[in-house]
Amino acid sequence: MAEELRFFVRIGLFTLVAGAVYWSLTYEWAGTFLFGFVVIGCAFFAIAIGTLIRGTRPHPESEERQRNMIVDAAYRMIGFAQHPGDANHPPLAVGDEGIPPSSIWPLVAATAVALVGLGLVFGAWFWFPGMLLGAVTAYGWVTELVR
Amino acid sequence: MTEAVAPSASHRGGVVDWVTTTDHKKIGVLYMATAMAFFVVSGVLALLMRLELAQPGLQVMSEQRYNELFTMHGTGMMFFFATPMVIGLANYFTPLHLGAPDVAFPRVNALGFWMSLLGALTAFAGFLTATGAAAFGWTGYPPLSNATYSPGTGADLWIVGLLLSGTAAILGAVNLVATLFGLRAPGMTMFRLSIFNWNILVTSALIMFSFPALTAALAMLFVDRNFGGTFFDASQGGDPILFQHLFWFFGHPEVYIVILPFFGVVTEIIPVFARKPIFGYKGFVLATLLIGAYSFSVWAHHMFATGAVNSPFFAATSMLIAVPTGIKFFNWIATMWRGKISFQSPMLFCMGFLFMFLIGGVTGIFLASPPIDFAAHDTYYVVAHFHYTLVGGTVFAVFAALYFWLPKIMGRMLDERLAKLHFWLMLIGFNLTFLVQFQLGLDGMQRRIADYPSVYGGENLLSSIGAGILALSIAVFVVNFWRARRKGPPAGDDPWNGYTLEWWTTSPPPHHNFTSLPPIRSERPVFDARHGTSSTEDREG
Amino acid sequence: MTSPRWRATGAALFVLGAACTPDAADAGGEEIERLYNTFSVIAAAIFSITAGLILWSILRYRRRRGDEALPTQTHSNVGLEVVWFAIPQVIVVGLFVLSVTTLGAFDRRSPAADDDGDDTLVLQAQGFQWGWRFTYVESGVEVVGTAREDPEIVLPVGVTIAFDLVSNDVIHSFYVPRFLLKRDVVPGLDNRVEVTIEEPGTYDGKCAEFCGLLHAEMNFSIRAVAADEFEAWLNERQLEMESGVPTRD
Repeated sequence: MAEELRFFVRIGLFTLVAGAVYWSLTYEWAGTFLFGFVVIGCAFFAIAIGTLIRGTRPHPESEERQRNMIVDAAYRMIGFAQHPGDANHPPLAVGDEGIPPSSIWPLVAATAVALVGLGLVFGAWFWFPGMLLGAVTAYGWVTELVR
Repeated sequence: MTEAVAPSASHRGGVVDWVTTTDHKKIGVLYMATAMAFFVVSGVLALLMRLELAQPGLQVMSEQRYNELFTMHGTGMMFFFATPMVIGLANYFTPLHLGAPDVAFPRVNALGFWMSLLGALTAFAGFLTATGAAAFGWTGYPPLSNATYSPGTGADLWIVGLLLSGTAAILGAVNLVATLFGLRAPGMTMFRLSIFNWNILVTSALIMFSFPALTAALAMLFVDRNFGGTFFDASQGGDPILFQHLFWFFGHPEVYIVILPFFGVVTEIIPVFARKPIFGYKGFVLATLLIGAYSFSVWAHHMFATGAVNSPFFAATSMLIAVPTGIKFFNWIATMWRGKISFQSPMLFCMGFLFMFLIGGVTGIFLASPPIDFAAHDTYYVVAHFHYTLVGGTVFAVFAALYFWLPKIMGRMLDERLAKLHFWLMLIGFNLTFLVQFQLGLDGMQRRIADYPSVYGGENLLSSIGAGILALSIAVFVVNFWRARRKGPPAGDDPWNGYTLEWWTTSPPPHHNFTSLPPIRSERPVFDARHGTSSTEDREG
Repeated sequence: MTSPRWRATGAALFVLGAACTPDAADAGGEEIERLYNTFSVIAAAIFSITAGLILWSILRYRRRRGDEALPTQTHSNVGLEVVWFAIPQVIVVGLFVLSVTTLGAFDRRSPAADDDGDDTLVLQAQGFQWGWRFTYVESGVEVVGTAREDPEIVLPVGVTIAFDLVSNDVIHSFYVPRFLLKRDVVPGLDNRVEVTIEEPGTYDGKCAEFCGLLHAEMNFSIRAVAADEFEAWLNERQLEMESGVPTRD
């Protein structure tokens, strides 16, 4: 995870320097704030990743073994029995098990959001059904995978 | 290698299947098909514009209609073709390159697609309103775009449509970053990622940090238009220039968003067809990171002519950003150097890309110089520059990607002779259309004008003829694609002797992508497995 | 009145297929033309070298029929990569210095409003949807375009002329191609540009920032004449104004 952390730290530091130079040359608020938000965004990601790294049990295993554990957990989360094989692990079974289930909720959610957007333009005839549909979607989406 | 078997129809599915899918491959196909549809639609708008501009005088349409056309052409190409094309390609191939079975958040992935489709339809719905579609340019500057000077629903639909598709882009980017960080197969360390994936990673960061600025700008514009806001109204203490800062803080990273993934595509194709490894893998990574970081600090080179920005700062950053792009060029050349190159369609389009993007990039350096920009800004010089980078760069690379990867997606090969006809017609048509525009611009022809003085007639006629040839070339592609869908010869797993993991599995891949994986010890695991090599260089970072 | 050397460079570049600027008719424009030509030479060199290398690779390293052996699998060459990082870096720094130097010489064009030399002729140029209104500030003479006719302003050669750019509606842009001059006209911004015209003649002016329906029609022209001819013209217009005879344009 160290390289991922470095990715955001580097971009964040670069932007911090650029923003500081920009402010000192221009005293222009909009650009400086925008630079600042990028720095905050990178900091947010860096903190999140850093916390993830700290949370993993420290042990002498190689990065690769740690990687395998993370991948295992991720695959299980989206419904796979085991990660695809290398020499030491049997490959995935052929067939339909463990595939992400199809779902109607993304389409419904998108429609709800679009209706709310159109409601901004055309009024309550649109945003009211949009909000209703949005509530239905929130319920449906969240409870879909609960067994 | 493996025997070529006709692909089964199992991946096709009915309407319900497509509408409820959360499979990244189907979502990728949906994104790409929709993006190509908007490419054609926006292209037709441009053809109509060139028809009008072929001769001085107004023959085909009114000024109002012309203004709607160039606005929706730009909007359609940037927001509903190029950006979704990026997300579609990344959707399909990022998990495959990682050895992953899907993206990290499959349902959110689908949500992003449907939002982006609905956003595109909303923006274009402006054409159906009484006052017409948005007509203030894809850049939407106030005060022109406020309620006083652009009354009518078309503009508001444009804003809402962009808010929808912009949010979709952010969702897609977050998904891709989570996938790239969390779902790599065993052995796939960061420095064994494909360069395509490195470019997708940086592009996703650009999307995440730049689109919010657009969202802010659009929201503020909407408030000014509809709720009595005065953010951009100078007479009330607001500032039109603020909109430009917000828009271009998004707008400049946006153009890198639509080119970086295609740098990645070209970096995948050239080594395969030269039968050599990527030259300077770490150099490519460094260059990508530098371009990503720099791209946030160049935005006001679009605003030199306002006199309201610090020109030297932005001139410096805008010229600096040319250097990492130059590194990529020289690394591509070095990859080809002493290779054994074959020029099938993917490679042919990469060569077109190299020459055309070179012209686009070099002319960009002129525009980065404020004094020169004072002469060239808002003229056809700029139009030519950005078409060389966006069409010569992005569109040529889109076709390189399609010729390279459609066999994997469809399981069938396209016809090489038609592909070559497509390439040459497109190269000739494109250059005929845009090369003359550099001189037109310096001679004083401004952009966004429906009519022009007759002294510019000759070049404009040439340009319009070129546009017709360009359109013909796209028709050739459509014919090729349509026939290949059912009748193309089976592609097999690996028709190009590829390097990366998508070539390890079937064409098209099964629902969960892989039944096995080779050991991953370098950025080209399939090459290593076929040739018994592994990277002797330690590239752990 | 560009020097013959620069004319020749421009001609050579044109022949090579590079675009060239119009013949600059004002002092600042000439600075820009010089800068542009320098950039063009460097750009032509960079383009030729890079395109040449690409073309060479295409021609020289084609795969021969039946040749299945892999070429040498070179992964990188750190020395080379440092070189092609460093050289472009130096080139862009050079181009930046050139640009900023020209910008500095040029910034005489954009002084603050109260910075006038005594001899500066000041005009207010107001852009509106969709025409221009010019006011000679000191004398009060006004020139406005109509729906049928673009405004033509008369200006003296060899004198510093300042334009104060004003808009009360949307953003326009004051553009004179032969002066290589462009500056946006923004509601709320006090933009001023200066020119010193070197050659008598008639020069087209246009609006270069999309401003709505008839943006394409928002043109004007500048007729540059000798200083005494200008004085005569200005006096005549003042008389017309005072006597109530409507202005001609």
